[in-house]
Amino acid sequence: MLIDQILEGVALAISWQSLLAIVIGVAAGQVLGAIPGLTASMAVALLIPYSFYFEPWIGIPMLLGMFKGSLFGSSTTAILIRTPGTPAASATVLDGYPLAQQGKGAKAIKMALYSSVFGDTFSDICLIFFASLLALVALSFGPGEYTLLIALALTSLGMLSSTPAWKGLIAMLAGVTIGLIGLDPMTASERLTFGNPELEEGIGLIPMLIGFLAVSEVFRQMGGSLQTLAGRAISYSAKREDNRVSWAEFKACVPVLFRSSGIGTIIGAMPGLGSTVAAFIAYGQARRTSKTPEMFGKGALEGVAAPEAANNAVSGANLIPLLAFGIPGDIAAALMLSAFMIQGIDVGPLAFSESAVPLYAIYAALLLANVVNLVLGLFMVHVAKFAFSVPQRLLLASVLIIASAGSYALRGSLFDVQMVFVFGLLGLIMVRFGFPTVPLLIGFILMPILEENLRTVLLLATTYDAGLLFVFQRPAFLTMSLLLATGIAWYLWRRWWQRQQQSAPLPSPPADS
Amino acid sequence: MSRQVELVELGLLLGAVLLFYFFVIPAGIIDPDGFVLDEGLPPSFSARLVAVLAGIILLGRIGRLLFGPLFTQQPAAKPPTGDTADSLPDLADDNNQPVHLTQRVWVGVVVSLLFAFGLVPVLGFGAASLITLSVMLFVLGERSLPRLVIFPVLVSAGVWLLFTKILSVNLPPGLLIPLITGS
Repeated sequence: MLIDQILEGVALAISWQSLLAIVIGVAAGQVLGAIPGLTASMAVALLIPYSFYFEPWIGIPMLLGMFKGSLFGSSTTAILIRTPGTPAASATVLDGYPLAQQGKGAKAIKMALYSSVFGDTFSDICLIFFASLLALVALSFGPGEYTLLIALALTSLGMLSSTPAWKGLIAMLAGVTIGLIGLDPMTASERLTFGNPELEEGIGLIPMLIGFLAVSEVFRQMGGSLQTLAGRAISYSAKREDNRVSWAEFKACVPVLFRSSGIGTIIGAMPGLGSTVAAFIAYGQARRTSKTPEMFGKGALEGVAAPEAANNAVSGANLIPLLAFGIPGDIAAALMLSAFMIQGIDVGPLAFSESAVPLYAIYAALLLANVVNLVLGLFMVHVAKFAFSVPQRLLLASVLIIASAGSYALRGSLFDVQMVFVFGLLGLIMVRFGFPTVPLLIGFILMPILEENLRTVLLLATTYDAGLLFVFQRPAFLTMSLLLATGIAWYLWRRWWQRQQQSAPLPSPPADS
Repeated sequence: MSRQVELVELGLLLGAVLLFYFFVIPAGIIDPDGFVLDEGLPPSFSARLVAVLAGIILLGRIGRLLFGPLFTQQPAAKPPTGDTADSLPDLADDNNQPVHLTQRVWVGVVVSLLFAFGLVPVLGFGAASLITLSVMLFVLGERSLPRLVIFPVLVSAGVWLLFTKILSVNLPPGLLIPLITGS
């Protein structure tokens, strides 16, 4: 009976209609995802009205394909022109862009593609086999655990991202401060808006990302010589090994891919965090565990693999609480929930007793979408190479216009367009004085989640006799605290060991050096 | 960076933090009257915490620069690039690409700000992008008249088609065009 249902579902998924829908969804996702400002959720939202004309096993795989495709598409522009198509690809900029500047753009995009497909497949398998278990683990996370997780991510990412570390931390706190602008989440009183109604909604993430990453880089590149500006925007190395990912290179990244996919799957299963947070946490983790951490930020393939595997792993995993309990973890899952509801598919604990065949068809389609993403992605590498081979000055001017249109699209706000250029100027000044911009964005992204959870914990503490210590009565918090203490001890030991190594006498340098 | 320059930077930032704590927060965040801790934390808590943390980091660095050499032993050697296992160069400084704030950069910044604050609200996105692209290309050294005309038209039309017709996102119309067309 169960086998019959599974086979029936798989048969539906491999029908030509379903395959065509997946191809259309993935292709549209890859193109839309590459446009700055169009998030994966927005791409899915744009396609939802069209999906209702089809059967569930055609319409829903099309949406899922679009989500997967847009996450990979966004990394192409992040790598080639330092302009993440969606916030999820912000961490990919860190090592993808340096690789592109070394003429290894095609290698970086291919690594991003393989990692995306790996992360997607990993989380889809987890969804299929361990949905209920993972959902239970994810739902055991309360505000205390969230606070600990985000505080840990903030401090470690802030300290790892700059030379000297204080500049990274100050930049991160500046990002946190910008994130405070708007209405207070608990009391709804205005914070730092100074009566400006445009600021009441807070500063948008898209203008921040586009301004600090893309526009500031465009401004910086304007300072190049006229000869450079007339030359090709992106140059590719003629060497074959610089344009492909060898088996040895991929194999070296496999541990990172597994760890990052695991991080993406767990974070994706937890409501409210999302793919951008997963990508940054995976990047920080990959750097800490790498044998060559000094290569990070200069074009490490692991630095591309980690965030890409993690952000794509979120796409399958955010269906875990949705399918297991009917709880949408983020905006993309909420959109999927609406698609499921309108298609008449039940989600939650009774889903498999009432809509088994369509759900098995969707599972099979998820895996098929990964294969389609890989095949179309390899074609996309060549399209991207062609599209970005225009003279640099044409590309720089176009990026400013396309980025400002993209920043307007999400909220329909002219204020967002203006903020893009203000942040671009601020980013340029920061870089000029040696302050990194990425920790600022990390602070901005993580601040609302941290603040909301921290304040909830403090509010809850007033209702317990034990006060703040109530968090230690929670097994998940206790486990995380132990892991954190172990991590800090390891970090301190490593610092001590490095200092011992540095204070050891060095051999005399050769005479000619 | 020399020690003196870093100290000046730190001093200026510390001044900004003090300004933020004592003037900007009280002016920009008003905690509701009668707010008690049983209701959670006041709205200004996070801002004050950020300012205090920034102050501690800056004072710590100043202290280390001023008094560090007196108490700490100088390391035997430093990597020549300044990178250690716990440091990461800033993105924009990758591959030894310095930031040259030339006149062209500032003209580009001014043109961009004019586009966002002046042209788009008045002329609308389409016309504003057409003009800005032509001017920006000229600033960036393009002197071929066909390119100065055809490329902006193609990009502006492409953006308009993509956003307005395919994605159903109406780009800002501006004040002038609705006045002329009466719509």
